[in-house]
Amino acid sequence: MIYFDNAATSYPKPESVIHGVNRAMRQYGANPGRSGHTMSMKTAEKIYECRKNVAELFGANEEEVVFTSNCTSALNTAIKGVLSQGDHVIISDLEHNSVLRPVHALAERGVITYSVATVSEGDFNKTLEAFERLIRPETRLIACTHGSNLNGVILPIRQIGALCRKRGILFLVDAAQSAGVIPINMGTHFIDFLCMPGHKGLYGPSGTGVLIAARGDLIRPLMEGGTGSLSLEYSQPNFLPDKLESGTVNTVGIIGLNQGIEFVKSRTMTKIYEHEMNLATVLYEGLSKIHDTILYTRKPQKGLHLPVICFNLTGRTGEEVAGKLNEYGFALRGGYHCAPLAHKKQGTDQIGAARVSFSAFNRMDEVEKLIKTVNNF
Amino acid sequence: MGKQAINLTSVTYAMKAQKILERRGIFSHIGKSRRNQAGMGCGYSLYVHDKDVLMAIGILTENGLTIVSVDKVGV
Repeated sequence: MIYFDNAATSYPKPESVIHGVNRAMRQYGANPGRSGHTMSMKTAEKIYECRKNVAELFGANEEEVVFTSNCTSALNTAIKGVLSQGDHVIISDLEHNSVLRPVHALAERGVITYSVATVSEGDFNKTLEAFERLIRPETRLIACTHGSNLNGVILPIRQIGALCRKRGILFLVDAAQSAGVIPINMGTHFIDFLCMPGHKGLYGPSGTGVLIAARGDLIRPLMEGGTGSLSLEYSQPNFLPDKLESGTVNTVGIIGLNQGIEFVKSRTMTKIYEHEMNLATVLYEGLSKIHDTILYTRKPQKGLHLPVICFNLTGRTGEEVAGKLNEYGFALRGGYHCAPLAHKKQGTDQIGAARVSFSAFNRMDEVEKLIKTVNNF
Repeated sequence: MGKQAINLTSVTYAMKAQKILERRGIFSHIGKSRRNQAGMGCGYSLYVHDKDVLMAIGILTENGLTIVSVDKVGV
C-alpha cells in the first residue's frame, strides 16, 4: 500500500515514535502531576519535556502548552471558551468543520454572529483585505486555517495576525495541516491561540493534540475536574495548563508525540516542506498532462501552498477515484474532507474530490507510480 | 545543612522552576508538597538547600512564578 492520506493522519510513524510509545507503556505508566512517587515524577518529567519541546518549536511558554485529544478539541476549547454573547467572529471560506461547526453552533444558539472571508489563492493582499472589510466594532475573534486541508491553499497568517493585533482582535490559527511542515511563531505571527493535531505533521500517535494559549486567561474551561493542583479548592485552578487540562492526560501519546517532534526537528521543517513540495509539484505536473484530470489550484508554490493535491477525473466522483485507486494499492481520501465551504468554493460540493497528501516518508517513485496508474484508467 | 521547600501550584511550574534555577547554578529536587498548600490542597515543591533559598525565591519571582509558600523541611 502506498499511503497518500497524511492530511488525515501521518503514516507510517517514525521508529522513534513507536519505540517511545512502547517505552511509555513499560516505564512511564504512572499518572503525571498527581502523585509524588518516583514513577509519577519520572512520567511528569517526560510530559514536561514534550511541553517544553512544543513551546520551543512554536515560540511559546511551557505553561501555555495545553495537551488535548486532537486539533478539534483544541479548537473547541479556544473558540467556545473565549466567545461571549454578542461577539462577532470572522472565519475563512476554506475552514474545516472543526472551526466552522463550533462557530456555527454558537451562532445558531444566538450567542454570536459570524462572517466568512474569501481567500484569494496566491494573493495575500486581497485575502487580507477580505478579512479587514468584515471587521465590525464587536468583532472579537478571527479564526482561520493556516492552509486548506482540501487543496493546500495557504492563508497569510502573519499579516492577518498583525491586522488583529492592530485592531485589538483575538487571533486563532488552525494549524492542522501546517504544524510540523511550516514554521509558526506565536510572537512574530501575533497568534493568541494556536491549535494543532499531534498525529499529522508532528508524527505523534493519534489521540494527541495541542492548544497553545497565549491568552489562556481569557478562556473559560469547557471542562472542570481533577488537575492534581489546589485539590481542596472547589473552583478550577486559574493558571495554565491546569485550567484547561482536567483529567489524566494521554501520557503514552504525549511521550510518543515528543519523539515525533524530535523527528521533525532532526529533519527540519524546511527540508520536510521542500521534499513534500517537490513531490506535490511533480504529481501536479503529471496529473495536468492527463486528459481527463481536473485540478483545482494553480501549480503548488512554496509559501503559497501546502503539499496537498486535490483532483478529480471527468465523469467520476472523488470517492470513485479514491476507491478505484485503493484497488491499485493507493490510500487517498475521497469525498468532502469535512470542508463544505472549501468544496463549495471550488465547485465540488456535489461530486467531492480525491486528495493526495504527503509526509516525509513518501518517495518520488510512489508519485510516479500514482501518475502512471491514473493515466491508465 | 537543611533544606527548605519552595511550594508551587503544579508539577508544570515546579519543573519550569527547577530548570530556571539550574541555569543559575541552583540545584533542587521536586517532590509532592508535604503540607497542605496554604489550605488549598495538593501542589509540588522544589527542595533547595537553606543557603540557596533566598536567591532561589528572588530568581523565581523575577521570572514571574507564583510561590505559594516556603517551608522548612522537617526531619
